[in-house]
Amino acid sequence: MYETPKIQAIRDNIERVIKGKSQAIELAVVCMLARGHLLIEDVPGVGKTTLAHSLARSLDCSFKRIQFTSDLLPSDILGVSIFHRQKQTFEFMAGPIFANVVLADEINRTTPKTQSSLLEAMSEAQVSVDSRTYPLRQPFMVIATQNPIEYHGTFPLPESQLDRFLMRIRIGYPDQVEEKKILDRPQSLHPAEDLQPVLTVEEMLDLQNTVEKVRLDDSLMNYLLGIIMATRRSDLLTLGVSTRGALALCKAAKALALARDRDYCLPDDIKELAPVVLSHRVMLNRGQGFKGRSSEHAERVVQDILETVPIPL
Amino acid sequence: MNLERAFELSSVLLAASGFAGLTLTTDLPLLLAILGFVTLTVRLAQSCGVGSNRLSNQVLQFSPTLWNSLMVMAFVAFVVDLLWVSQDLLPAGIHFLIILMVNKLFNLRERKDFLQLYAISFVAVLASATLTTDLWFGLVFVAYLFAAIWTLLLYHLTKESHEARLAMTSPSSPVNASPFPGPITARFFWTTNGIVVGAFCLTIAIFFVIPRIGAGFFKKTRGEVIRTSGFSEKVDLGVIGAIKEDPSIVMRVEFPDQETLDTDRLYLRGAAYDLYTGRSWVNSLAYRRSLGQTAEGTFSMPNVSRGRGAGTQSTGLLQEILIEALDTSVLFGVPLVDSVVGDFPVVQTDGMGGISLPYFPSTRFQYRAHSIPNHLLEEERLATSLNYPDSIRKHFLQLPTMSTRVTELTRQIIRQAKTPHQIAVAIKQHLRTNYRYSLDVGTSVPVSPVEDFLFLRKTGYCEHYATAMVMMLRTVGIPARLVTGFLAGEWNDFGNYYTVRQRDAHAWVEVYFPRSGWITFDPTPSVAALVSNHLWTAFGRVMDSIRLKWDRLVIQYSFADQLAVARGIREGGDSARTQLSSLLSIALRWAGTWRTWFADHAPVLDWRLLGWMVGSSAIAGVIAMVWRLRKRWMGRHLLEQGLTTQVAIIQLYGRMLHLLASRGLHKNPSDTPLEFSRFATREWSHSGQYVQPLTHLYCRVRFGKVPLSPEDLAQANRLLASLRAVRR
Repeated sequence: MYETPKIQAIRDNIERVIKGKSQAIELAVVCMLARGHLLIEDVPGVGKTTLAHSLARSLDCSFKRIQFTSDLLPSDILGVSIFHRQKQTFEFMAGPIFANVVLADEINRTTPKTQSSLLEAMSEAQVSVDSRTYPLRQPFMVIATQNPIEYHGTFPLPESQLDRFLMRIRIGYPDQVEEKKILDRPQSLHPAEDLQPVLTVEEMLDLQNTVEKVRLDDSLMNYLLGIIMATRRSDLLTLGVSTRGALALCKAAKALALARDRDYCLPDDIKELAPVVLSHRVMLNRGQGFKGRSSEHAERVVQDILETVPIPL
Repeated sequence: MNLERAFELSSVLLAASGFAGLTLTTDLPLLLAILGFVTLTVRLAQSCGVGSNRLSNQVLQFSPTLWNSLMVMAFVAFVVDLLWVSQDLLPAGIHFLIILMVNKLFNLRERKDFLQLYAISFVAVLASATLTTDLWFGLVFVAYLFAAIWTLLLYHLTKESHEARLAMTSPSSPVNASPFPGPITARFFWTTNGIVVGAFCLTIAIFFVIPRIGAGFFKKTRGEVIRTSGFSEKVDLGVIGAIKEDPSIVMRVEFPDQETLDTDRLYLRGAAYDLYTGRSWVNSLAYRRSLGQTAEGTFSMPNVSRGRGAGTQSTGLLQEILIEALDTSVLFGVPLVDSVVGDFPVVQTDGMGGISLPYFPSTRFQYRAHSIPNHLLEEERLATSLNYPDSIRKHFLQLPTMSTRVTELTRQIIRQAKTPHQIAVAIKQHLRTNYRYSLDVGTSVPVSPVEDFLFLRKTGYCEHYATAMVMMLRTVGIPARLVTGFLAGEWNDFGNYYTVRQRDAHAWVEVYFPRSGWITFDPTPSVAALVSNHLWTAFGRVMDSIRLKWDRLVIQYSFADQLAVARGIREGGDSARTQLSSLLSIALRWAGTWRTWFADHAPVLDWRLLGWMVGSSAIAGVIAMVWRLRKRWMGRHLLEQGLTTQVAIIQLYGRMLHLLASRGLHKNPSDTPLEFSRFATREWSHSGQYVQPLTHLYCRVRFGKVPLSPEDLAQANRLLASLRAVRR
């Protein structure tokens, strides 16, 4: 595997803007390598937008941001057909979804109707407007954010739709040293705008194809399925991980292996990714006395399950 | 069935085949045979998982001290056996071997016990190979080969999986996974059996192809020498009974030239006698001289071709005879033997046309005899008087002192007869019709057995008949002599050969005609042959023909046979070549007609170009096929290599885990390799420099399926050794 320099270049590039969050950056890059979509669940002001933006910038590809509000309509995302007076025809005005990287900010603030229009576009990589189908650009990645604290006036995404996201991550606050560095740095308005692209779109597509060729040993496949089965058996969960979830973990593990300069997966890849890939796909058994933020509970349950599944020797 | 159980079962079967080989050899003491049999049965039942294990468990609970003292006693018994009872190393050794085997069967605890059991079984099979030429040994050998290969495979498989499991099990965690499939899969079963068949075919190929030098073990067998009192230098009337009833096989006679014989009774001439003392026959012309040998190793009889009647140019009869070890040196053959081919240094003949070896053969052996039967010439059949040479008159008209009653009886019988031939036929007919054949003639030895037979008892067997006929012929001046040998009547239609048994021993008469030579007359009435078509006897014939094949193709297989096989293959190749070339010429003729047709209809077609195209595309096709096969083969090779390195690296990593566990660093089952490596480094920083590279190597080979290079393996072993040397 000689792809690591490219992947490392993206990570380094993003890290110039976002300090001290190398894990979140790596996960974002891995998510893109695996052709997945990313859900960032965190409080405002920790760099969600910057992460999405700098990822898009590093790739020399288009980037659109959609601020989700309760009055946002599907056509505001997908685009709309407008009657052209001179030509006497309807013309399709492409919406912001026709970009390589789309940041869907505060996705839980909009109505389910608008949410589902975005999620359909995410799973099918195409949109249908007025009975015409328009393919989206490749690579296509949606980075959605949601605020876990405010519940007032939000429409939480249902589990079936959360399933469309490959990962759900948290960025978290930087530690004090890093935070001080950020304050010390000369502030520009949009630090991501200053980034130079390090990878072409074609190179990214090549990398995405290479991910498919990463080797996942049979024993690891069994290990992965062991984890999935354990979530389905667990008393703490009312809903385990679906087959799509298993597929997602498989894909993500391969991408992580590639990002770490291997052409084969290790148990570590699976174990490390399982919390971020699986925890938004399970439903907690509320009878077991979970209180407060469910995403953290779910992550802990997945972690505990991981400790019960033996690693193949 | 899981591997461990199959392994135990095949080990016990291996021992059983060794024991079966031993039972074939000598008369094993009944006690030992029963002991061995019972032990093996119990162990077999136990390893099959049937029956109650209580008994064997009880025996297994014997303390090692008890077993050891039993062994010491057995050794003392062996010494006693060697010095006083058997007085021979082989039987005593075999007895001791069986006791050792029983001991080991009850003490299969560790792997070295199994190894010792295999060594004992191997010695057992080796001993039986040297001591028996029995057909059943072939079966035992196949069973042994079968069990041995299964055992060898299972031994290694169980050993590997045992070690791997040992390595994986740290005290804190239970065994969770084995890298090997537990049960025997159908693929494994058939692959192993395929290996067995392959090994067997290879064994056969080596057996038949590697040139024979030296006699080998089989030739040195002591063999069971069959007593044949009928073939001593003397024939005593009245001591034959028991022999005539003996069904043991003396020889088998095949006819390589012809499928069947038109006669159902085959005379096999052994020795002839001229001098009758009144009680017994003696050969006074027993002086032997050696026969000349031609370049091909054929010993030919000089006087037979001379004594053959002129004009009766018969083709002769070729016999191939496999003869058991008899206590006679006489070579048998259909009268009259013209030449003999065999693996003998010298063949001798006496004055009576008998052929013999100068020594008593101690093993069964094989030879070819070519015979040209004497036919009575028409002119001598009709001649009223014949002129006998003096040498014949001197020897073959001799009579013992006996009453004139015999002469009177003879004259009475031959009143109608005019010619010597008619006289002989008349006497033969008289004896056949008026006397009763019986082996039971009483034990008392009369003063003159012939007169006793002719006038008193009128009951006797072949020697009485033949002696009476010779005496009667001699009283009327016709030279005659007594011949002994075998009268074969048992045709084996499965193997196309005659089986000759001890009870087929026979005596008959030869009458001399000056120009025709010695003509065979048999005065003994033919006893109705008891050929029953019972299923059992048919089975017996099949078994006997298999046994003959075994003797011929395995026991007696020699360098000469190899040459014959090679010659046969070459001749077959030659004939195939001629057939192919004739086929080719036909094809070419067809091609020629097609070509002219094409030439007429398509004159622009360039034949040479077409030939080039066809030829080059054929070559390209072959190359492509080879290339594809090569790739596939290479792929398989790499895969296999990958599998073995997988096992090696798992074992190495397992050993490392085991070692670290013994230093207090236990790996949780849910810890990934890298997590554990970090944990070990954190807990015990010295180990990091060994654990980390080992873990990376393990990950690369185990999950990346990267073939493990010998350098990597050496490096890993070195790291492990260094880790072992570090104290925590």
